[in-house]
Amino acid sequence: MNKYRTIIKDSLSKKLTIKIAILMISVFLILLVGAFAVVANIISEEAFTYNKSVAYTVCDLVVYQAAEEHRPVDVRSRDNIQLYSEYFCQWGRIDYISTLTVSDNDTKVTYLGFADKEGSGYIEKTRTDWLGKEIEYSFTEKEKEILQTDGGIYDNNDYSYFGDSTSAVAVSNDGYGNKVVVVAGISYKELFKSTAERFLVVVLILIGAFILMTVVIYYLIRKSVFLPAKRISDSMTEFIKNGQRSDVKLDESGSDEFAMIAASFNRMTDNIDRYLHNIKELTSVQERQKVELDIASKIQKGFLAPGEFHSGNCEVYAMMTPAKNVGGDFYDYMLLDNGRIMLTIADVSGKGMSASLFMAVTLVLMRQYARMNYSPAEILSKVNDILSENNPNLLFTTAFIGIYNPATQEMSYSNAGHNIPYIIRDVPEPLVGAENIVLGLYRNEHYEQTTVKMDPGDIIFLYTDGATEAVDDNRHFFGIKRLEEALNSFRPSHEENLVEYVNSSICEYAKDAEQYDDLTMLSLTIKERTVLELRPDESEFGKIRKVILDSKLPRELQLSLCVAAEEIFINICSYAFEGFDSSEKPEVRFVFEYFDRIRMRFEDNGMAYDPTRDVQFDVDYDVDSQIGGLGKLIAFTIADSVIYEYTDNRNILTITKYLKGEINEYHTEQ
Amino acid sequence: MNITQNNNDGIITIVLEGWLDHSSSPELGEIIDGIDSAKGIVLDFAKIEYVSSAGIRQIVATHRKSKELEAAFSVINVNPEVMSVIAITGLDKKLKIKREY
Repeated sequence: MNKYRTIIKDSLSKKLTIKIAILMISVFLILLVGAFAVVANIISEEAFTYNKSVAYTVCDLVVYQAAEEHRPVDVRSRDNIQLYSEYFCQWGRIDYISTLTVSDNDTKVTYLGFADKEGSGYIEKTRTDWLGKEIEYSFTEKEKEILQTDGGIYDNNDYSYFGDSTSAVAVSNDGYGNKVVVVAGISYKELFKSTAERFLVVVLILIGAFILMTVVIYYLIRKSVFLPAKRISDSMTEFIKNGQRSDVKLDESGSDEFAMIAASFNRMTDNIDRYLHNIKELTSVQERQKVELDIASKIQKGFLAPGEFHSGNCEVYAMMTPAKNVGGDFYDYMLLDNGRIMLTIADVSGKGMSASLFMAVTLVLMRQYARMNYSPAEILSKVNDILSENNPNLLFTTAFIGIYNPATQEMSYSNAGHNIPYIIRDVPEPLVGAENIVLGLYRNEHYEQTTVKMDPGDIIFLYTDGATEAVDDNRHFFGIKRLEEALNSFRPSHEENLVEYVNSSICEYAKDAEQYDDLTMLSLTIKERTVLELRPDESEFGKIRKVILDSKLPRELQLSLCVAAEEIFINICSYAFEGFDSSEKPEVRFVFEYFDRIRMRFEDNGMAYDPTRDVQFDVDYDVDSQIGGLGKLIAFTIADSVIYEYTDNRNILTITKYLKGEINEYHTEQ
Repeated sequence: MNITQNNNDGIITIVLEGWLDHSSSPELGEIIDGIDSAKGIVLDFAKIEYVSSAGIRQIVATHRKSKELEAAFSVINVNPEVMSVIAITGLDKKLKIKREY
């Protein structure tokens, strides 16, 4: 946090101050150079004017003096010239004065006198320059021009500040044919020395003033920019840290940008506080809705019959996976009288709550009419009349109803616009026919019905379009073809029933893609099933053996089943009716069924005896006294599961053997 | 059930054929009972497809008979299915029982 603040301090106050200072110094330097140029120009102009007046005065005095004495200006004027020259050099600002005459038709030049700050003399043709170096003086081209003229005052100055000096030349006539020439000059060194000194003082004062100003500006910026910015920054940091605005609001007084930022910030935090509050409220509302939907979903699932059902040689497997919490699909099955089984699958148009309500009504109506022993077509017709009677939202349902009668081994069915189911014999075939209009739209529709023969081993497969319209990552449908392939490749096994098998095919295809529609499937399997009513006599075993050997099972499996069946049956014959004194006729029932597993059931009305207890056998012990034990041991070892129950005065022993790839896995290899 | 018996120098070989179950095993029992003397008794199971506990009891009974007569005893040519049933009882470890080759 401290580091954060330091960075801000550096970046705002210092940066700004340094930039302003650099800008001001630059401006100051430009102004200084300009001012220096102007001042230097004025000084030069003044010096030049002064030069001219001095040159003229000296020239005039010399000519006047000679005129008084009625003579030309010549060496006799030297004293005079020296006096005047010294005077101006000593007491005036003039640095040097040189006086000469030009006679004999401008051909002869005579130096009459020279003076500078150091003194005067008659040094002819030489003088010192303003750097103190002795040089030979020669007329410049301009001076030569001036000498040619009759009189006047002339500049002898090219205005160069960096030249030796600036000077003026005065030319006059003495009345005797001689020209008197006076050159008066000021050296630049002298001229600018004092000016520069004065400037330096001013510059130092100004630099001091700038340093002072910079410091003042720094504190002003700090007070008016950095501190308010820091306050805002601290508040923001606080806000971020706490997740909500601190109780102290930012000061909004004033009309500068910071006041605006503070006002905006206060508004923003207020809004965020409000939004957060709203989000919390919304979340709790959604939470409640979710809970309600969950409950609805549970109620809907509660309507559905369990996913597995066995009756006689019929096995029903079903599943429903809604795309949302609640769906419009359903399956149903019901055991009717005489072992008949009703199967239903349906798909309500639409999804979600509305569909699920319609689904519940449809399901209940169908069950009700099925209980009243109506045929599939009659059920559909009755349900359609009730649904279409009052259906303002024009919801509709596709449905398939089949009723299997084990006595005739036929299934009567009627289809109300639903996906054509499959009957799987050797290969899956569409169960066409009795196709009618959907339920819920038109009253008094007639529904057709037909029947199909179902042999042991046949499977009916019902599904909704959620199966064929399951999509993969590329949004391609699972489709009829893949469904038929899955149905075709199904092999009965105790590990996976048909519905689970198709579902795992679909899941494998769809992978992680979202499920768009409810997925519902139901299968009815007619198993191989034989029931024998037997006397408790060992000679009756031949019938059992025949049933087992007549099955389509592999030979080795048949032999193991025979061993197990023989042991159980002989045991029953030997012991169950010992001392049997009942008015009932002794009887043993043998039920043999197989599809995905083999089940052998032995029912007898003899004495209650649980053979699954005390299954022990010790071959070292007397073999004969353990006559039952040895057989039980063999039978139970061959079986995959053994279940004993005693109901209705009957011993019921069920032995199950699963169909596996390796059917003789119980062989203990030596 | 078909049973043939060979006596080769006191070594009695009983060749069985078919199912040795509750209905056929008494037959074997009678034959065993009828043996008076032997140096060895061999049960040849080469053509036995099926053995239940009743058959196993007859194997045990034959074993006892051989002990009584102080004769050697072995069961030979047992197929895997039958062997697996015998193995359930543990008899394979106790008696001299040879698999078919």
